[in-house]
Amino acid sequence: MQSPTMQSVSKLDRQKANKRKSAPKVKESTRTTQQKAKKRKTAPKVKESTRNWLDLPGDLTGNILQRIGVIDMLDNAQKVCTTWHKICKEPSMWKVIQLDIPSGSRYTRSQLRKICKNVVDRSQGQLVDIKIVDFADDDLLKYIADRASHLTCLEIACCYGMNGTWTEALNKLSSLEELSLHKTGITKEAIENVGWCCPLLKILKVNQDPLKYPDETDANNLSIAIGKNLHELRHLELIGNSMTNIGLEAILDGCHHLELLDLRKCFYVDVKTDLGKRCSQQIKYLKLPNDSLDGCPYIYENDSDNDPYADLYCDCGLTPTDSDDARDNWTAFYMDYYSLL
Amino acid sequence: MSTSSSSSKKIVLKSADNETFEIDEIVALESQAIKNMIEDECADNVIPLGNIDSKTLSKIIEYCKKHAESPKKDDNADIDEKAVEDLKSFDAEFAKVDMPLIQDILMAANFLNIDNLIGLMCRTIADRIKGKTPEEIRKILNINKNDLLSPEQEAKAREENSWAFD
Repeated sequence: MQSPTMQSVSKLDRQKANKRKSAPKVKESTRTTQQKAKKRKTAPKVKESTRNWLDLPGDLTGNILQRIGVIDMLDNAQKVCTTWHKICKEPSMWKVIQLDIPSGSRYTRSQLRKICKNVVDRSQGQLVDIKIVDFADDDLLKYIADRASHLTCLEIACCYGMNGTWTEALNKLSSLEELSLHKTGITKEAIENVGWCCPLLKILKVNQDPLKYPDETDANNLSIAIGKNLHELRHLELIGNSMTNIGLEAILDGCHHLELLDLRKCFYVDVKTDLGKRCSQQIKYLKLPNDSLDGCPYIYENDSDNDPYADLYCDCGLTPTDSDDARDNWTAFYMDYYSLL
Repeated sequence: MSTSSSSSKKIVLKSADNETFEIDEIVALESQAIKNMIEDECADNVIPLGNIDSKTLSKIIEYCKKHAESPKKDDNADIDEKAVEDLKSFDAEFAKVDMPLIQDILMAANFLNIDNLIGLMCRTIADRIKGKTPEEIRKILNINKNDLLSPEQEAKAREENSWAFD
């Protein structure tokens, strides 16, 4: 009863500057008087029952469903009614995907990878933005790259094990504008490749836990690769990188459009030098090695003395020096971690 | 309520049940649809809103007043956090209403094209149905049972969700 009026008017609103807009308004008000007559009689009682959620314009329902998250959409929302089922099938609903392991998740990492593939399929190539936390692997990355040629934003976090497929995957992601890797491995070869296979890339984040004993021979590899190949970057985050001033200079020399540079926890960079001065002149928004990590979505901890499980300690908020009690808790976490693999 | 002087331009809105609301133009401009009408000089007298009842309209005006008074984000990069917090808690209070009214506000906000309010209502609804089973969602939203999935569709959906049973 309401929708025809609403549609005609809102359509016209969109066609701004349409002088004939007053015409449908007259129509509307005549309709209003009819409605009024009806409403007057029944208003208080009928109100509830005439209000039907299925009359909600599809884009509003879509707006709501996208806010409840991927897992809820698949597990629950799509089973509510045929209207919602149809909406959940629309590729446009899956342009933006955010998937992490919810606390108390009933899904294992391998199931989440399947779920991720399922929603990538649902997007039918319309995927533009995807964020995966804690369960991505090389195979999943390849799957996405093969099916999302319009992807502009890729974020992967807490997947240090990934290394193998970056070059191949990035070759297929030529629309990429933002690549965000948090605690996730990438090779210098892959970064060299990005320069020509992702010409639109403006934002790069390769944030990691700082190494206590970095290998000096390759500490600057990544930053030199960036400086030599990614001249169009506007925003670069390298939290926890082991580069020295050599790497920093390569970035400043190569990335002339850079507006933001995040050097937090880059403890081998010396900013109390001429290069440091140049850095603060050239970069509009600069974050220094000792600046606070407040506002960071992930925690970057220093690794501890050759402890192979250091990364796991960090994941559960412990340091290796914590008490036995804490260690016991950690063991439980550790068991849980592997049961999810 | 209005802080500006009487010289500021007024706009009159008329609800479906014939109640009129006189508001400052600046408040009305929160609605992109009304803004367009004003720019096109289609809003000289009274703007009739034939599909919005007075209860919904007064809620919407309450929202627009508050948001029109608050400093806009792009005015100043470092607007004081207090104003942001204040607006946040206003929004949270504003959304504490029953589902039918939320739907009415959402429909009206969509009609009037008030982006922030559409977002707030969608977020509120999403928060209320998140983590709920299909049956619970139907109950919360009072969704018509005539539109349930057929047994075949149910089976197909379950098949598509096969990852859950691996």
